[in-house]
Amino acid sequence: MHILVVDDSAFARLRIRRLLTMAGHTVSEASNGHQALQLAAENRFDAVTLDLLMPEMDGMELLGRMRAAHPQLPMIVVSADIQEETQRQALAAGATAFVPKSGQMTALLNVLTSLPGRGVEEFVWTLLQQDAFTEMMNEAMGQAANALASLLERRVLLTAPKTEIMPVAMLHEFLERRLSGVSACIREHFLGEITGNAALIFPAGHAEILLHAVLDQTEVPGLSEIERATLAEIGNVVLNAAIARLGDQLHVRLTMGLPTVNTNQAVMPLTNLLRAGPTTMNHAIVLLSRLAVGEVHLIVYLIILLPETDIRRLLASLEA
Amino acid sequence: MNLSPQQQDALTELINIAFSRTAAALSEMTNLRVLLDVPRITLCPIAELAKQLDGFVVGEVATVHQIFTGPVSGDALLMLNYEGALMLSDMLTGGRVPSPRLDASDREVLTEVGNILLNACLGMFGNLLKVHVTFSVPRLQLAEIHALLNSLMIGSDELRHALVVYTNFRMRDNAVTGYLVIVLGVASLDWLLTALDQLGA
Repeated sequence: MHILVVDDSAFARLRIRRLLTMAGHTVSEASNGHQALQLAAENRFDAVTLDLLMPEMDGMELLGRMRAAHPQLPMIVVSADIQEETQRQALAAGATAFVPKSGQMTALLNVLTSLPGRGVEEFVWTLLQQDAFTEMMNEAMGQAANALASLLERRVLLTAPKTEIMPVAMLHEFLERRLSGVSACIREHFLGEITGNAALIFPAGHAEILLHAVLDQTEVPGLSEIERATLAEIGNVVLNAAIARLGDQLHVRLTMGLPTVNTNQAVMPLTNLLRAGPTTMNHAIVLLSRLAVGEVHLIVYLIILLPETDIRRLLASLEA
Repeated sequence: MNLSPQQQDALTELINIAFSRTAAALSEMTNLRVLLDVPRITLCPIAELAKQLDGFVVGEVATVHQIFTGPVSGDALLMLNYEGALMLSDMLTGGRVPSPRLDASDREVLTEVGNILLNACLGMFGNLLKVHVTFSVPRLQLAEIHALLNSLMIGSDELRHALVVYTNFRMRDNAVTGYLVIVLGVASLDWLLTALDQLGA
């Protein structure tokens, strides 16, 4: 790939250039936003890496101008600023991915290989793997259903009949084909020997139906504190059960973060939120699940983002 | 104003996480194992900062300086004595003929290392305390300590304190000692300490 590296620090550019050229890429450099825009207008690049903190034109402005001029060009922010809000803003401004300068910069290579059409391996389940994984997850969903039944004091059934694995770059397209919007997304980060994100997604309208069933009340517009807390607790139970089972399968101990609830979102900002965090999480496992609470039947999506290496470990363990 | 043992503990934990991330980045840069030692942290009024650094600071200090603004505002500094700055640059770029003066390349290296370390620490605070701060472009300054402290403009009309983090870079049997200093006005410091208390509650 031909990659434009934009950073005001010559040392930072050298560091990125070394990494990329050793991986077989061709690199051009720009030390400021104006130079980057000019080079991008005169050349055809496959991707751009850009710093955020730069004099004159900062990275956010460059991102906006570059995105306007080159809508399809993958742009990867490589910044020392590791704040989650900064990452969110960069992704919202059109960045394809965010790689922190602190930590392992090889994450940049994973991002480049996960770009659409860049030859990322699409994992194909064997029938044996798919059966084993579905059985494993349904065991976890059964445990989660029992916990939810006790929590909600209602009959609860939860099954995950269909599972898919895909490069994270394809997640947006996958969800957009299936969802007109998202009524609620409960996210948790997990870390330990492996790191990833997990989320439970309710399609438009489904979270409200669930809340009406379990709380016998609806508040329109927006969610009350108790409704938000209920969704967080339901998500927490399901996600913990799924990730704990995953940890058992891989023989690793994982720690879950606190649940974050987002409501009423379009698919694009949602997929950006799911991808926030280490960019090594370049693959997604999507479980299309059915949730029944009392007489109410819903569809939910359970999504787990993992690095490619851990997906490979998981697939290997399923055949053992 | 002093740090309570709980605040000291929470701050040390946050900075340790940030240091380990930075050490990972430096190790990857150099293909050598870089260690950033467990920090010791103190809090002092800015008027006493020069005294606090006494003995370490003789003559010019090489400082990577970033201003941060937001719900918590102030100055973040990575301070190295001149010899330490030269040694750190040599350690990180390896193989070059050591120079008695910091050249343009040394300055680039130190500015980027300071940028990564300061952002890792303040970013870690921001993420855990749920605040977002905006950073200025990092600048490397070479100045006597008093001139440097006089140049810290943020909140200069209020009483300010400095969080001083003892920092030790170790690589290839060499060690470079420096200080990471975060200067905050009382309002920002109060905010930070309250948030740290809530974190440990």
